[in-house]
Amino acid sequence: MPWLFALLLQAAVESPQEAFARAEAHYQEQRFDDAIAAYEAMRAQGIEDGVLYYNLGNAYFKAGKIGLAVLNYERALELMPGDRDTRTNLAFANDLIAGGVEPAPLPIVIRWLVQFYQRVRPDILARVLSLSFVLAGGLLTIFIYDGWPSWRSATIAALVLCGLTALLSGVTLATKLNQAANRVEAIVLTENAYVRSGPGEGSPRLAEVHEGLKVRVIGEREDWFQVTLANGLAGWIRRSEMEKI
Amino acid sequence: MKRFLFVGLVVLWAGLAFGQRVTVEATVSARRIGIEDIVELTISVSGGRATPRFPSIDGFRVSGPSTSSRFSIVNGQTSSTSSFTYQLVPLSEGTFTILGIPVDVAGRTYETAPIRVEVVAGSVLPRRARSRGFDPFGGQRRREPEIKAEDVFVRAEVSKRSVYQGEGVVVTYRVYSKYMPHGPEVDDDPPLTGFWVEEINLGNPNIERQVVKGQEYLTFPMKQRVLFPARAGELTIPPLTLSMAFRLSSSDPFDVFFARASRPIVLRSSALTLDVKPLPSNGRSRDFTGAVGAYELDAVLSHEDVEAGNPVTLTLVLRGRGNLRSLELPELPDTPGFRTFDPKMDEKLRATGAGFGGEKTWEYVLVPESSGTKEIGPWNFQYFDPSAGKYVDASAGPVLLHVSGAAAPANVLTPAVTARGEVKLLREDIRYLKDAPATLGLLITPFYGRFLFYASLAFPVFWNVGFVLYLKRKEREKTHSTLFRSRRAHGMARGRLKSASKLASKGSKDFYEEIASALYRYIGDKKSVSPSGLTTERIDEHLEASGVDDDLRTGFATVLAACEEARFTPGERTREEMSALLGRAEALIVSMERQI
Repeated sequence: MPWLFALLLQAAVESPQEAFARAEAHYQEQRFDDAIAAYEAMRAQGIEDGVLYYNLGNAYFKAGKIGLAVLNYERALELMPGDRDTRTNLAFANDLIAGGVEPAPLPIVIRWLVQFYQRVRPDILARVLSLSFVLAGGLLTIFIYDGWPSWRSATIAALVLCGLTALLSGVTLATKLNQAANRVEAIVLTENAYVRSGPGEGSPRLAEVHEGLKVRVIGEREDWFQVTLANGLAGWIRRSEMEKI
Repeated sequence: MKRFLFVGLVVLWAGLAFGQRVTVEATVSARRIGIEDIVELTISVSGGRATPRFPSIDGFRVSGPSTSSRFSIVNGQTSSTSSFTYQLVPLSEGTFTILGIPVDVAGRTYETAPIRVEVVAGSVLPRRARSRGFDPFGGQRRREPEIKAEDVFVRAEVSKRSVYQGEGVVVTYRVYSKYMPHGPEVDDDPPLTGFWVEEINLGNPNIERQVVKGQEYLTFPMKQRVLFPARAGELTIPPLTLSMAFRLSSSDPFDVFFARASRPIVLRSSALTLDVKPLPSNGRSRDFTGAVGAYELDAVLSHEDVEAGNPVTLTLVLRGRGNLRSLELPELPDTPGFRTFDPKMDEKLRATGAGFGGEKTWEYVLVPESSGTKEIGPWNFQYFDPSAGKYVDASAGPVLLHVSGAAAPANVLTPAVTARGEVKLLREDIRYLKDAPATLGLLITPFYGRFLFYASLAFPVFWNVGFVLYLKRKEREKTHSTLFRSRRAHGMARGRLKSASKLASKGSKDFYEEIASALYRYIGDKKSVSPSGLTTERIDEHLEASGVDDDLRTGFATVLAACEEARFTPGERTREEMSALLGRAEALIVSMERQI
């Protein structure tokens, strides 16, 4: 019992920064399992932070658990969508995944838009929305005060610009928050998993997927997730073989 | 003496200007020529300065002109003649008409007479360099020797007349000449259709002596190329047109020091046809890619023993004679257990009089991912050997590679192999941990969850709506003065009553007028009518219409009547009376304010 007390005490007196430093020390000594335990303990305390997920992903990667590494990188990206390190490491991990499913390529402009959408932080969008909305409001007041005939093209342009910015950032923000609230993606965590045509061991196998693959969850039933793959294939995977991001 | 010369010159110019009839004439050096010959067209103009327009003539390629002019004085008559000489190279056989060529002389346009020229096959004219227009030695020098057709000619020679499709043929355009050529140039080299062409770089060709039909010629190749027919059938190699001058030597000892070049003459080879046979289908395998010639294939590995994860280079060499430039190696066979990179291709090819050939090299970088003895290959390359008339297989490999070491686990980092000369990445690894952020463990409300965010969205809306409402109200007050007046009425009335109370304290009779005026105006403002038209009766009507109760209406009438009475009857009123009336008037207005 005293050790439990000591552990509790340690947890109580150790600041998150110190816990972070301890985990990094483990990581440096190649004791990745200890590093994972330290990071997971912080998560258990309720700390939600992109950097924490990133470091945890790194520790899982080094420990050879690609699926969990991908899962934590994805979670880190949720919290810091623009982070280059996370994207690089996630891409690296995805490269090592056997039999990855290639998504269909998109035209470059669409790709830029998608990238922007994925990487922009909701916080930034909210600030842009705030600022442009207040500006648009101020410009509108000037217009109302001046009356119709004296509207000048420059001020109209400024109003339209502010209005559009507010509209776009607002819609993007709403979409992102909505998507985050209805998170429907999951990562395969076992080395091999089968996509079956129905929720049951008796259903025929449609495809074999590997650890680290990201799938979209479209339905749930008891022990099974109904999923779609990037190439459009739909089927059922055992709930225990994967985890939602 | 001087004066005489001057007079003479004047006479000369006058004669030039006025004394001549203009004649324009066109002549050709021959009316019947061979396709390999060149015909000269001379336009002579006498009697003025002329500028013929550059003619375009059907059936001929035109070059030139060279010009000459001559003055002559015959029996006191001066005449000047200018000649413009064009060289016409026939383009095809047949009869052609050189239409009239317009010539501008002294502001008028003259036209030459049309000339018919017949072009036949071969060569019918002696080859002769044109004489010079101006000769400083006049008649003392002998004319340039006439160059006969058999003295100078160009021949197109092929190494083979009958070939297979894709088989290389060397075409040589060889000049034979009895005179030393000077500055030969290719004038016209029509495009070759139906052939892959590899030009042979002749450098500075040696001039040799050669005996043809008992005659000794100087000979040298002008142009040489390797042709690969791309399709079967009769293929035509069009003629090449050359021009060159000759160094003339003569027996005259004087000429030894003044050896000079002739005017350039134009030579043309005859067209050639090749009989191209299709490749036989007998014995052709499916992976035949069209290679014709003689080839060999080699496969070499840079190491035979290697550790898993380390790169090896596989070199495939295809060497031989034939149209190597257009050849592609068959695909690298599947190499399971290897990471492969795009090959580096290198070619060393050369065209010579013996044909076209060399070697092509492909370098593949392979990284074995698991241990064991690996077999790569074999490769098979089928080509057609035209000399044997059959298909031959060139093969290489398989090559063996012993890979030692454990298979690379998934999370062990894969070395990236790069081509020579580039930065060599030793390892690729994930990026390192990040430092703990200062905000770690603090619960930070995102901006979109904060009061400021919602306030920033709400504030502009409320502000603008409020502003619009404010402007609307202001507008209404401005336009609807009735409302404005009615709102103002109470205040105005109170102001008048106040001034009335001042008058009361002085005991002035004006007090009553002020009270009456305050009440009249009050009603006027309230009902939006002019107070001047109001009477006691009218006021009562208005009040009744507004739904004011009887008590108040009576009170109103009483106060007004009291005012009338006080104003128009003599006698002093006490202050008490006045303040009592004032109090009633005030009470009336307060009640009225409630009812209207």
